[in-house]
Amino acid sequence: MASVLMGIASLFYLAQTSDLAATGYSIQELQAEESDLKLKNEQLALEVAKAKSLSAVEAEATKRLLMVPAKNLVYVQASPVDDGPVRAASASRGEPRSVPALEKASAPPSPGLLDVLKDTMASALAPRSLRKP
Amino acid sequence: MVGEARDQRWRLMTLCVLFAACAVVLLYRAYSYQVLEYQRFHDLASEEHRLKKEIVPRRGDVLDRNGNPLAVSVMYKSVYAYPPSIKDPAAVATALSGVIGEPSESILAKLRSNSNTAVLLKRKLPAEVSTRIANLSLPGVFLQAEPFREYPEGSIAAQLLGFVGKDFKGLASLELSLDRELAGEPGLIDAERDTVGGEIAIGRRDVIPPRDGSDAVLTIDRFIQRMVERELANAVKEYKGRGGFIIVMDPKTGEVLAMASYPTYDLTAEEVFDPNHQELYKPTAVTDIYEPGSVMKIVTMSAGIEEKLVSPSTVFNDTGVLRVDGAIIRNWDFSAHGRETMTQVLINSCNIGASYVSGLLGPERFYRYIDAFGFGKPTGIDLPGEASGRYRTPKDPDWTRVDLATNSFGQGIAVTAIQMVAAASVIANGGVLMKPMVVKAFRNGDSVREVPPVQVRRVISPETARALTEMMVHVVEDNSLKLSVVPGYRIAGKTGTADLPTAAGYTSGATYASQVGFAPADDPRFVMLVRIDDPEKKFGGQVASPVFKKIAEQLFAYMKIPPSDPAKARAAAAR
Repeated sequence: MASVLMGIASLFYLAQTSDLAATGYSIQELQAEESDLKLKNEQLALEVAKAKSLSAVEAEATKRLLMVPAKNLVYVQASPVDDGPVRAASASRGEPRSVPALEKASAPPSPGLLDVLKDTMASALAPRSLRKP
Repeated sequence: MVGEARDQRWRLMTLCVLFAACAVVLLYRAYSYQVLEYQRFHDLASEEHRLKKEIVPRRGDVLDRNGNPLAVSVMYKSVYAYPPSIKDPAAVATALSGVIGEPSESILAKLRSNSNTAVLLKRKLPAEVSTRIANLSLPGVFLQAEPFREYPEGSIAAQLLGFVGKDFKGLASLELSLDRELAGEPGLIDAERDTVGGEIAIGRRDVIPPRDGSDAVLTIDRFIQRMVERELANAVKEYKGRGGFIIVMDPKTGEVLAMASYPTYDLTAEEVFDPNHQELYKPTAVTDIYEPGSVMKIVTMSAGIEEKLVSPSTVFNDTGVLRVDGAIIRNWDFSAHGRETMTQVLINSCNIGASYVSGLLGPERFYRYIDAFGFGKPTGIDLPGEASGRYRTPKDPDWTRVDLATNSFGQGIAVTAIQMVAAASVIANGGVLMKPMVVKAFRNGDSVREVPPVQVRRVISPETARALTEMMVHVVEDNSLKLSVVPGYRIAGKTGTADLPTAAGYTSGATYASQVGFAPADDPRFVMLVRIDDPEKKFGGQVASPVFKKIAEQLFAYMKIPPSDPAKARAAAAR
């Protein structure tokens, strides 16, 4: 009886050990795969950084999109925004309804300094074929 | 008979004693090895099947002020072969040739070498190539991962960034001075190995993880750096100079926005280091000293106004000649300007006027201001090899009053470019000297360690700084050439032309042509120093001023600085 138990225990130990070894090797393989993927990721990140570099962007803009450097930037003074008091609408009391804030905001705003700058740069950087001679 | 028997017994006894002695020795050795020296032999045995593998930490990246990578670490695999393990070199060479793109003959030559060590077949393989080689499972061929430094923006700011050696340690400039932060600390795998050196999967395994290096966020702006490098290279070619440098700095914080030197070197070259061109690898703007020439007059004039000895409208009679201790000092153009104000002294860059102010100050006060503006000692910028600069003071035995006169217009005094920019920043920053800096922060994962700007000291009062600014605006706008005027913008500046000293003295005719200045004068966003070395045209106003203007125009657009006089800017644009 004792020898049968010993035999079963030995078989169990053997199975556990071989299972452990197999698991260990698959962990090693997965670790190698992980480091390979990390390496690939780093190399791809470098490609992305190179594509975003100033020289790449400039080459794309000037060679493919036929853009030209902006010259003669014109700065325009933005007109001051009139922020008069905005009263809450009160139709029930028959008071005159002032323009609600949302409606006011949805009206086309006067061009700000940055917008004008962007427009000027956009027109200067437009593809040659679309620019007036 | 009896004697023979006794003889035999003696021999037997002797043998017994001998065997007993041997047994004792053997027992002692066994005891000694197994008990007394147990630990030593246990350690030796463990070492035999112990695998110790260093885990290389990731070297931190170097980023510009907006987080754009300038230098990054990327892992690549390199392919090696161990010739004694290769049975059929020709087949292996043919198999590898198509994958790594090398001629099979050159691979075969390496495989047939009598080397008993691994030979390198090709470095820095892209991931897909290394995967294909691994899939070939060629005996005796193995891959080794190695880190490489890459430069996504190409070779910009080379003298500022520096480079690393084959051991991935910093060898020059920031890579050297920031090596401790960038390098990190290696980790360790301590495990058991099998007979061929591989790790036993079910064996003991202790891992000390590495500490990756921190990323360094610089104060440099990649756009400004690239633009400045381009303009500098063009200027050196246009004016047929030998070289030069440009520094752009934020005067309010001391943050260096761009630092370019020419000639420079290519960071992206296969072999960066060339022992024949070691002078190219240092950041010359901090390591090399030069005589600044008339640019120094802004320091002299600041001291005179701060001490209330002169004001911008103080009138002085320039006779064109000044005798000091037997030496004759003249103006750069050998002319006499007659009665002129201190503002005109700066506009005309009058040496006699500057000497007059230094004479009023006297040596004690003059050198106190030279020291307060930061000359004569390193600024403390985070770059290696910073020079102190040099000048004589009355404490030196060879100092004379001629030094006091010539130092006032930037001769006989040697400064670094970064000291000169910092000194000009004092005026731009309302009288406060800031420590120049190139590192803004260190990042490691989610933790960020900011490097705050350092205010060194107040040098002059805000009133003196304002007065000097107005005088420098007049220098730019009222001089005869007006080559650094940008219509609509108020620029404060001062040019300088210094003779280039050689072994024969100052007689070579070669000059350093420079201009220092800042803009907009009323709320300075940048201070800039341009220096072109040994140009064909000799003077700072002819050479450095147009370069200053070109860069200032681009900085106004890039930094979205509107003109102080839009009508003037519009009129100029319409022309």
